[in-house]
Amino acid sequence: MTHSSTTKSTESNLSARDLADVTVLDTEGEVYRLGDAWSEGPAVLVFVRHYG
Amino acid sequence: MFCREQIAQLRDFTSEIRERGARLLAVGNGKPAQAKAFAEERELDFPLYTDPGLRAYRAAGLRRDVSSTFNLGLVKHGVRALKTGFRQGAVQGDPWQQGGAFVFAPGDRVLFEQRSDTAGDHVDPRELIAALT
Repeated sequence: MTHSSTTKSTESNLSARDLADVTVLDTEGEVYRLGDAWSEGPAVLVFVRHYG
Repeated sequence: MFCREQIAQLRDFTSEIRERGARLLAVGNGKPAQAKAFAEERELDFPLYTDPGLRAYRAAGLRRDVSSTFNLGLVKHGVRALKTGFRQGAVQGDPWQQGGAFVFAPGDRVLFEQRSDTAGDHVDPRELIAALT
């Protein structure tokens, strides 16, 4: 049993599009555009809380 | 400690995720050097990125508040994590930011989305696999 909310509602398209142009940094400090991860195939994207 | 447990859980499923032709990536917050140290310590076989400004977390609609971090559900999750041998190391990154998990496909299609409500409340990797099948 979890307390999380799993949604597949119509607002879900918004999250992928909003995220696609967001950039993050890799472990070397290089910029990576999130959308590149799912531009050619499916991708599992996990956001962790913090390192520890 | 929840983060370590979550990453360990994910690692058990990386091959199944890849067998279904999907990529796996994780995003945390904090400095790249912290991400690098964590990735090396955990010997991750998938990329770990960092989002120090929390822009990606915000764009993903993930919760960030004190109340969710101290929810009573935490006690149950904490007991579970401790039982399986994970201990809290020094916290690096924003302690109030919650996580989540998504499965996306080309065309910005959303196959799965989950936003955590409390610490320790992370997705069962089998749900991610199911979304890819």
